[in-house]
Amino acid sequence: MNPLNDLHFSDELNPERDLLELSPDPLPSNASNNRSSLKPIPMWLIMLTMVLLFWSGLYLAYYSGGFKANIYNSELVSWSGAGARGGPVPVDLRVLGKKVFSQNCVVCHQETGLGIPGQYPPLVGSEWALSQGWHGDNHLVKNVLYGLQGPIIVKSIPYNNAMAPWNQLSDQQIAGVLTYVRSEWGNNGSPITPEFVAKIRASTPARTEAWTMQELQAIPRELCSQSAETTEAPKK
Amino acid sequence: MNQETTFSPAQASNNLSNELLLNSSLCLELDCALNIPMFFLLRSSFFNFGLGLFLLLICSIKLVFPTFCDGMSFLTYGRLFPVAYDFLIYGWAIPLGFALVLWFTSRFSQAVFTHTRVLVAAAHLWNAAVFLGSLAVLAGYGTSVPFLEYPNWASFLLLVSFLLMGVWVIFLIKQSTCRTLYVSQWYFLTFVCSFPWMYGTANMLLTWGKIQGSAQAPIQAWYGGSLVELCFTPVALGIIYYIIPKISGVKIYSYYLALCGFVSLLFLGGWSGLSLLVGAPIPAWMMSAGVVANTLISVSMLAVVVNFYYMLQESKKIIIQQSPALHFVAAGIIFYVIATFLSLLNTFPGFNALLNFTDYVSASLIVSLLGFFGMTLFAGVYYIIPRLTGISWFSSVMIRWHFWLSIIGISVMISSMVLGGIIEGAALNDSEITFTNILSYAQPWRFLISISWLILIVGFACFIRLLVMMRWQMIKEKLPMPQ
Repeated sequence: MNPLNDLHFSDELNPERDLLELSPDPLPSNASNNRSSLKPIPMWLIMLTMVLLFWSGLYLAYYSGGFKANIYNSELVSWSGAGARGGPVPVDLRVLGKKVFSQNCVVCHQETGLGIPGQYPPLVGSEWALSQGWHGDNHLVKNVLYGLQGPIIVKSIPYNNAMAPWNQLSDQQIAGVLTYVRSEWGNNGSPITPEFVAKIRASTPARTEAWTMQELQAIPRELCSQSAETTEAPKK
Repeated sequence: MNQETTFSPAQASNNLSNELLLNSSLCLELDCALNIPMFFLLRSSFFNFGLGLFLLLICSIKLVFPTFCDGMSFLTYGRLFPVAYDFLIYGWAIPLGFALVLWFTSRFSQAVFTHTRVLVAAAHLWNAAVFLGSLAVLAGYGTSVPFLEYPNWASFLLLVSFLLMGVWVIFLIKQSTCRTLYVSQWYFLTFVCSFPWMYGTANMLLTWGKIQGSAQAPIQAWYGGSLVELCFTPVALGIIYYIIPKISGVKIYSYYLALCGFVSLLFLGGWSGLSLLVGAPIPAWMMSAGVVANTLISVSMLAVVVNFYYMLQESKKIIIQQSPALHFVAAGIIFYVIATFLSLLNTFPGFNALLNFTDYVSASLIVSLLGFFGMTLFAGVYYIIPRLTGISWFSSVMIRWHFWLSIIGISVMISSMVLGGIIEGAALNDSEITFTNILSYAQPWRFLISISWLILIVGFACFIRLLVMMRWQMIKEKLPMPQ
């Protein structure tokens, strides 16, 4: 770079120029007339603003959830607040169940649902989980609610261990985890509804002891799908 | 007013017409009245800036070498990082911005400032609050709300001292002989009014008394966004609207554009912060309002930048080449465009899913705080200090070093934050990659970030060297200097 030029690289206090700069000081305050021209806003900027405003209106219309305080997912609700996609999304029981399973059940029953041979019974193809034979959905729910202890037989192999009670879980969580277990790893049982869990929970007197196989066997078999039909039938 | 009579050095020796002399003596009088508070605010804010940069350098080194400065509780990242940012925001950006606003306002309204003592006392109070508050945060008494970490007593002191300082700007504007306000004054007034309002509200709802949990995140985001859009941006734009016409002698290109840019910023500035919460568990309309505001704010940016562009286009090239202040202004404008673009990109849900929670977010903060606001503040400083002291800058080489090191430092930092952020975001979205691996991808970029903090510090050291040289010259020539 030119060294001479470089010497001037500073807003030097050249008194003459400084006064030229300073003299307009009163003028900026006279606003529009003196220190700023009244050139129009460029047309492209106006057009761009219009386009963006239009887009913003559309965006707010589609993604504002009707400006309601209790709507958190903008995709659910249209402008009117209801719309075709209105209402809360139903919880996917399998997704919820997978979460509950990996938080609570994997320790014994393992990620694969195969349990540990000789210690913890498998869930894959288990007649207990799939409600086959004398087993019913009501037994399954009761198991999860209050646990199980003593000798049992799963897939004709005897086990003798204890399962913890899980009645601190909500109806939805229990329904979720059971639905998950009955549809994962090649199992193809029917889903368990939260209503069914609530019904069993209400009809079972609270207890501190875990169930034994004999106790459960004494209770008549009940299925979730049947009970749904029987409860809905009278309404119709 | 002793200083006024004793302070008449460099400019006294001119043989211009009486009218101009009158004018120049008025300017001298205005500057003299502001000497003490200006120098105090400038000195303390430069000190805080250096300290903040140094602490951020330590923080960024800790990100690369986690064992660096290990074992000292007050140097843990969680305490050091907020303190470093608070030094930059409350120790440097706001007091320095206020000092420049005060000086320009006094020039505009041609009123001699008479309440120096109150102002200096308030400035001392502000500095004390910043220091004690930062010490308290380092000792572990921070509130853990981002940008509002100071404990209650410190934030209360900050608010009170800002009110005591800011009120003089309003009085100065009232004393003005002119009925109308120039564009810069709109922006300065916005800053002076909005900061206490925002800081007070945010503290009242988040630290002094706590509002219910679900509302805390939106309020914090509102504060963070408006701090940038309603405090920093107005000050910077006001300075640019002053400096370009002043140095290059051109008029503002279009009054309407200026008006449009100002009003849209005023309306949208407060909303834009909500766009930081895209995808968060807050009511959907808040996010959408943030997205829309952040998109429309680019119109406000364009209006202002188009105005500046035509003004710089009109002015003589030689003036731009010779003026450091205009150099810094031009850099600030470019960083303004980049900052708006970066935050716009992070707004859209698609990009947000990739970029949020990565270094990208810090890039858009850094580019608006250091790039846009910082460069413009230094432009103001380069313009003001010769007029305050009465002597010109000595070394144009040092100014160039400061300018280019700042540009390089900020650019390297932003680009490595953006690129590193994109890589981190892509890796975070891939559930097969473990978190430790993601950190190792970020490592080289974070190393570059540390280096760019170092570059910024060296650049700032050049600026400090300039100041020291200037002071030395004043001592040699026995020029009076307050305190």
